[in-house]
Amino acid sequence: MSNILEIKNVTKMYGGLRAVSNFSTEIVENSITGLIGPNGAGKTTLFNMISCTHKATTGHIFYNGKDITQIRCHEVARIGIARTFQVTKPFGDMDIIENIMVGAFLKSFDRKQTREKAMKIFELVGFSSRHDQIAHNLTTVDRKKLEVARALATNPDVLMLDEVMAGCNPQEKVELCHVIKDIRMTGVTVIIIEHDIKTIMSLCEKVIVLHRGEKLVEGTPEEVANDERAIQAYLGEA
Amino acid sequence: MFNAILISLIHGIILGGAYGAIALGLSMIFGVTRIINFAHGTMLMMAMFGYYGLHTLFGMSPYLGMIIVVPIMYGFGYLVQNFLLRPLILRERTSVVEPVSILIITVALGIGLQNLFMMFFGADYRRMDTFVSKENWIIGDGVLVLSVARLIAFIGSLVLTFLLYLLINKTELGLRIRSVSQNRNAAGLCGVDVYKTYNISFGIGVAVVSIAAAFLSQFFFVSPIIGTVYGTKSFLVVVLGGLGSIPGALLGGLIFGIVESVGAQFITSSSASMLTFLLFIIVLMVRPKGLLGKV
Amino acid sequence: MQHFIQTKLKGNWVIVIMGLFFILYPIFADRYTQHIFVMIIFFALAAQAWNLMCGYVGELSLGHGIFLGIGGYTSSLLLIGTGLNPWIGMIIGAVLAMAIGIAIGYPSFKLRGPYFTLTSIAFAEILRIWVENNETLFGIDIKGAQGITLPQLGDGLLYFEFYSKLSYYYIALIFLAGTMLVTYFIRINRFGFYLTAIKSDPDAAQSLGINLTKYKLLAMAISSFIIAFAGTFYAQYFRYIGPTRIFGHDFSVEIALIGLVGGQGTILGPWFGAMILVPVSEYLSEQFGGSLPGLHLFIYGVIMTVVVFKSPEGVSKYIHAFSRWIEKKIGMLFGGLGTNHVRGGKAS
Repeated sequence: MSNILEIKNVTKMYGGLRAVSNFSTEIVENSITGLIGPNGAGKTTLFNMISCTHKATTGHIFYNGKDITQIRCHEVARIGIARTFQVTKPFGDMDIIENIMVGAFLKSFDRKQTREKAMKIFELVGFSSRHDQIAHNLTTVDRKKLEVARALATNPDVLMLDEVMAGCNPQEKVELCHVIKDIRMTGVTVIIIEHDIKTIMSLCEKVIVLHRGEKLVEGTPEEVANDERAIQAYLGEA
Repeated sequence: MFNAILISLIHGIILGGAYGAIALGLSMIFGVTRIINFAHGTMLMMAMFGYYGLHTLFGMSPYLGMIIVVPIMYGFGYLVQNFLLRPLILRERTSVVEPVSILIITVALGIGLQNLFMMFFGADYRRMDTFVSKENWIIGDGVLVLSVARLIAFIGSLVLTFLLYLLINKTELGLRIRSVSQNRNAAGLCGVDVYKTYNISFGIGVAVVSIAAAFLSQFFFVSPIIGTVYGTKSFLVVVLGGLGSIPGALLGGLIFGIVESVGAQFITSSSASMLTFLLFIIVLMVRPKGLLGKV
Repeated sequence: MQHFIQTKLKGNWVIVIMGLFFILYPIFADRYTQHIFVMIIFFALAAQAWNLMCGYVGELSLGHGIFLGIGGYTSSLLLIGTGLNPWIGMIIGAVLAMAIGIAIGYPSFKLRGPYFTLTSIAFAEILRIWVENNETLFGIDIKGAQGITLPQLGDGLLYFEFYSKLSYYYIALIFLAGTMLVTYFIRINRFGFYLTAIKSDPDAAQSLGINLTKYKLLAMAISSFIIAFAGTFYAQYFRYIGPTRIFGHDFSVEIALIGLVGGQGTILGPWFGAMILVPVSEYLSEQFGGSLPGLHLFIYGVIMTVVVFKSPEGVSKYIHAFSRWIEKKIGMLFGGLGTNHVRGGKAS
């Protein structure tokens, strides 16, 4: 299995603040990788750099071997990297299906086809609201799901999920896990930021712990769960 | 030829100072509240009418008239921010879309007020004949003829910029203003009344432009339509100098004045205005922050 | 086409009736009323084109008069200078307007903030000053502030010149209908979705692969192209075009206001806005134009303020709601006659 993403010595400075410091890792194709750490550790910043919303100050990011550190923001989705936002950003005046269609239009141009595809994704992800519910009226959970559905609609090879479980009850979390596993079955590589340790541990093959912008630990869920530094910084006693 | 350019350069600098003074308030308001006051030119015009009225009715010189007009305009700006803009800012905090409302409101304000004045005063150009407005300072027997009114305006602009700079950087009020402009939420958490500071800042911005109006009224005609002309110029100046930067506004104004003045030596003066617009577009493309801009 | 009729007309019979009124009534009206109708449709057309830019994308243009002027001046100058048929001149003017629209859009769309609005105001103002103060432009006689008066060449479609106001009216109506169709097709297809997404949340749009600048420029190109047509219409209708009015700040703001009052991002909004505002403005200018110059613009400023505070989405939704309410009442009156409101989609 090759590395679909290679992050090499990436640093992000905001003025004098070092948000991410000399971070490196490799993401294996079709894997599910978890990114955990306390708030402010730099997890979302990492996502931002991969999706080029904010460019890395130094370092490089390689996608399928190609250096994408400086590519333009909108090209990221085109090459196959999709992301969700921690603070949800629905297109408020459109309904759920139309929101998803915006994502789907990346790959298909025909209106009818796109709508069908959006309906399929709507079924796959599973919402509590009707498909024609206007986005700014959605519950928090449905908003998060909408983020996932919309990103999924772009047919990505890499899907980055930023705290999509926040606000879900245990039942919803289990459902979402199933969805994520289903997504991975179709060949997508998933990177997921979460605070729910149980979820991360059950879902991911590899877990990376970020602390104050630096990579603290990296390894399988078991390795990380037993790592002293990780426990001290974030996990606490199990 | 070179002489002519040099002379026009001097005239341009002097004129530019006035432009800078006019743009100061606009830049400051944007720097603090992130609002572009599209009614800025209209407020300049209102202040000028104020001075005109005082001069015509009581023979008061605009320099003296400042004592009356400036506080009134300050109050006006304060109220506009508090009653027109604040509700919209609050409203938009909750929704994702629609920052457009605030743009539209200041445009509506500008149009409404400009035409209110138009209705009562008509479009006629009015001139003020004060003890200063006709005076000239002649250097080297006719080589350089400087209008005293413009010269005073220039010096006044420098002083005004300096004073405003002091206010923002060396006073406690200025500290509050700066904190709000840099991080509204953090300032609020530190106990700064954010919306009151917005009100004060807007008021100061309008007060500053009414001071500039006092200078301007001495050598420029008064009419409701000047609001649009000077308003537009202010926008260009402020982008050139850097939105939110006080010295930037002055610098932008100077450059503007120079380009207009020197340009008019080579092409028609209206074409020189085209030049300034071109400069504006170039700035947008190359360095949108402007020369001294921070945001 | 069938789908179009179904969705546009289904459940909106009041609007259909309004449309029929607009098509038929002017035939029987006097010349002055016909003029009012022409102006309503003209402004509806201009606002419709403006809406494509601003209502959908969200970049507020307060200088759309630029493109009206470029369209009108181009076709008129070509007519006077080379005798070129104004219809062809109209197309050339539209292409020129489109090019300039893209040129001023490009630097400003890349930036976040009110830069585009500023640029539109500034450019209109400077164009106005430039044309007012120059008798010739690149060797062409443009008569400065005087403006250009078009020669009388004939009466008929070929000349784009008619004695009867009615003919002008129907041409304007056709332009408006065409623009509404264009807007509709944009709206239901990919382009429209992308524009709405850009307005709603540019960051999210980008993350889904949407090139913001490209689509904004595309919208700008179409918008400026169409409104240039209106510019040529203006010149041919008034047989005169001058910089003070057409490049003036007031004109551009009127157009924007009509679009805003009617309802940003709607298809029928500009028409509603024009229906309400144009007669008001014409009446006020008539009655008070001499004694209180600028009264109608003052009223516009007030209306704009009210709209922003009370109903930023414009009156369009009220008219739709009112239309449905009427239908319900009529339906109840006639025992549920034929108003089938089965529509999927937005919550009412």
